[in-house]
Formats: sequence, C-alpha cells, structure tokens
Amino acid sequence: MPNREAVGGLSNIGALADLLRQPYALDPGALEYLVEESLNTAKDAPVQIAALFFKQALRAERELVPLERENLGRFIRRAAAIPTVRRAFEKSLRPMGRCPTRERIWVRQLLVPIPVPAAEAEPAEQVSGGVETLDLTKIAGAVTELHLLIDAIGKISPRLRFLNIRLGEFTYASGLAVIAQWILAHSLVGHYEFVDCPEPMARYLDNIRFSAALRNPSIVISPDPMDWAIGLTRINRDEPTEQVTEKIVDILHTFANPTPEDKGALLVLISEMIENIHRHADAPVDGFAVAQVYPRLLKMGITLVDAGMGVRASFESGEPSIPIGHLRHDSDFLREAVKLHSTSKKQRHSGYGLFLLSEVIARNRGTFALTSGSATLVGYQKRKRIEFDVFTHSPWRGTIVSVIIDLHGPLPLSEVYREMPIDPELEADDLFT
Amino acid sequence: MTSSPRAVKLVALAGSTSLLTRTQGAALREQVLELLEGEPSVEIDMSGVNALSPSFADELFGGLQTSFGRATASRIRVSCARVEWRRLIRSALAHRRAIDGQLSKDGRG
Repeated sequence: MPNREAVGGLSNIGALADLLRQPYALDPGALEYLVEESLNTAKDAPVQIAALFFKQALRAERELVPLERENLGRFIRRAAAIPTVRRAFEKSLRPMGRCPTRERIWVRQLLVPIPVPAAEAEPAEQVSGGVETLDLTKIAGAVTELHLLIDAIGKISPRLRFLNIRLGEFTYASGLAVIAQWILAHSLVGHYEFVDCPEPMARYLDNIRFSAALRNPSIVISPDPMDWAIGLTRINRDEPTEQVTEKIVDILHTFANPTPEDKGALLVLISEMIENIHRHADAPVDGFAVAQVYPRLLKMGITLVDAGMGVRASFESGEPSIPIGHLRHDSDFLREAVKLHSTSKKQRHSGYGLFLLSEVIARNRGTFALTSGSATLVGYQKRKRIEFDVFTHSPWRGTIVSVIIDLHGPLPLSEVYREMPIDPELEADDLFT
Repeated sequence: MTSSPRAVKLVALAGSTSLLTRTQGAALREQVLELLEGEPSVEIDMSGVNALSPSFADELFGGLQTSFGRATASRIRVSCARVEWRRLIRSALAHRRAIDGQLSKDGRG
C-alpha cells in the first residue's frame, strides 16, 4: 500500500488539493494513493482531479521556483497518464486560448507523460563528468553540414551530466533531430538546456516540439498551425508509422500541388526509410523523423535518424547479399548500401530502400545524405549521373538519412521502377493477366 | 473446363490505397494464403492502388512465391495496369528467387 501514513487518513479531493499546495514536499506514493482513492469513490473524480491539477499547473508557472515546478510537473504528468484523468485534463485545456502563451506551453507540456529517464533514476554521484557545451552558433545543420554538426557533437565527453546547447540564428530541423537523438541515446532528457537561444529559434524549437518529443514515448505528430512542418516525431518498432508517412506527404499540399505520382513516390520513399530503421537499426532507443517545407525556396527537407547499430555493423553482423571482405572504411559500406539489392540480411530484406532514395532524389535534382559511423555520403545529380561526395567526421552511432527535395521538379519513382534491371535467368513465369 | 480464379481487390483487402510496409504485405499474404486453402487460384486485382513500395511487393508477392515455388503462376494471377509496378513485382520475384536459391543451397529455407 503506497504511503497511507504520509496521507494521514485523508482520502478525498480536498486532501489531494492540500497535498498539491506543498510542491516542495510532494510524496509520489501519497499522490498516487489519493488519485486512486478518489477515482474509486467519486464518479466525477477525473474531472475534479483534472481541474485541480490544471489550476495547480497554472499556479506553478506563475509562482513556483524551478525545482518546485519540476516536482509538481512530474506528479501531474504521472496522474495525466491515467486515461480518464487525461481526457478530463484535455477537456479543461480547450478554453485556454485566452491564457498567455508561456502558461499554455507549460500546461501542455505537463500533459505529456514521461518515463523516468535513466540518468534521472540514477543517484547523481554515480554519474561522473560535468557540464559540457555544444556550440552550434556557426553551424546551421543543413544536409551538407551534417559532418560539421557530428564533429561538434563528437567533441563532447560522453560522461557528461548536463549539456548546454548554444544555437545560432537558425538551425535546420535536420540538425535538431540529430541533437535530439544524441540527447535521447545518452539519457540526457531533462539534463540539457538551450542557453542564450535567439528568440526565433526558441519559437522554432517549440514549433517542432523538441522538448515534448524527447519526453513523449508515443508518436506525436506536430500540430503545426501553418501545416508546413512535421515536428520531431518518434519512430519505434511498436507503433504504426503510416500516419507519420501520410502526414509528411500532406504538408506538401501547403505550398505545392503535387501530382498523384509525386505523392505516391513520396509515400514510398518515406515508408522505405522508416522500414530501414525498423528492420536494420536494432536501436536501444526510438529514432526520430522530422520534415519541413521551405516555402521561399520551394524545397522540402526530411530527416530520419536512429541510434542503432549503423550500416557497417549491420552488414558485418548480418548475412549480406554482397561480398564485404574488401570493404575497409565506413564510406565503402555506405557506397554499397545505396546499390540495388545490396542488403545486410537476406531474409525479409530486399535492398531497395536506399537505392530508390538516392536514384529518385538525384533525378529530382535534390540532395541526399547518408551518415553512419565516421562517414557521410552526400549524393546529387551532375551531368545526368549520381555523384557522391564523402565527408569523414567523428563517429555517429546509428544512421542518419536526410534528403532535400526540389518541389519544382517531379519525383520520378516510376521511371526508376521501369529501369530496374532484372537478371533474365531469374525471370519467373509471368503472373500477370 | 477450368474455372476462372477468385478475384480479390487488394485495396479492399488492405483497407488502404497505399501499399507500403512489410507489415501490410505480410498481413495480406496471410489473407491470400487463407483464400487459397479453399480456391484453386486467386487473381489479385491492383486497381485503385495509389502507391506500391518494394518492401510491400517483396513481402506479398515474393512471400507467395516462396510458399508456392514453381506452382506460383498456376495459383496466383495478378491484374495490374501500371507497367512500372509490373516491373517492380517482377524484380522483387527475381530477387526472391535468387535469395531462395541461395538459402536452399545453404541447406536452409
């Protein structure tokens, strides 16, 4: 029985209110006990609890010091994970249009149930290292700058306790997705801060739901009011990803009038990218997807990042469909990975994804980047051929796939399908009517 | 006299016009295999499909080929108007045939 003694016999909503007024002395056992008791005894308890928490959350934003606020926030999130309370909580959020923005953001963030990050669960003295700073004031994190970003990340001690991040005037969503992945993989959720962040970037971080996506283990698609971005969205093996794929394609409509062919092509490319994460990465934590339309340039950027085993280890630990004995550097493995039918595992893999992506993006006159280990391959079309530039950098554990699509041009997936070579000796009896 | 194959519309079976993931492909393959328990052959109708991915094609068509081997063409017919998708399915089948051949050489599969 959780801490009945701490509650001192109180078992109703009033007791809960009393408890919440002392955020410095909150006891999780007492809180859970009171919530459970209230839910069992009063029919409208979820509504009452939600109203109570809502009021306290607003007070917290206005009156409490950060430590008290964090403490209260943790308890409210825990209660909001109970579906009935959560529904009531969401209902009470509807009239919040009149609230100041900071309060609204704070209360909305409280609604996100979070698991206790590993770093938070460990006693502080077990974590050695100190505060580190990731200085990105001169790196925008564009597709062609990923190697610079990874080099900057590579300079940070992996034994740090707290990360300060300095951003410049603008950092691309692709760069932010990479940073988020690194934070998640190193159990730094709740242990990082953007310092001296320029105001437009602070708004952009809110828009792409940087903090919320790090805390929320379920897939949450950004409710961007302008509908030109998909905020940081988690990719994991257990959740369906069709909704993410379709939403990314939907934002195309905001600035372009895509043909059914282009929409279909984009659906295929994104789903193949996500399948790669599902089937190859074997990652200890979720990956991330992010997408953004750049209306002035009429371009669209999509980035998927994971903290899995990476391309080289996937080939070396699997049953590759190609000989790999002669491959020496990470970049050699990346060059193989973009070839047709080149896959690290023979069963339930067919090695189309990265091949299609590089072919279609090059023909679209866009840019394609594949990062894994100590190399990044940047592909583009030059004189009707795909060229790859290779950049070397600090090691990245996992894989990053980032593309820039030119919305002026088509996505000629059908053309690539039509030109796909087939070994005549392997042609099967024709199935088609 | 041979009876015409039982026709199944892939879009209706999938509940989606986008055929993209291996999970979708595997679920549809199971449904087709179930139908084939009571039918000599099935015609898979691809009309209404808006997007077809290689992973899906490998999982559904390649998977059916692995199940039926040389008898695939007598059990499965595919009605598909788009030339590029026919090419993709042929490519997936050829690749699957190569992999299945390698696996059986290795004594597996």
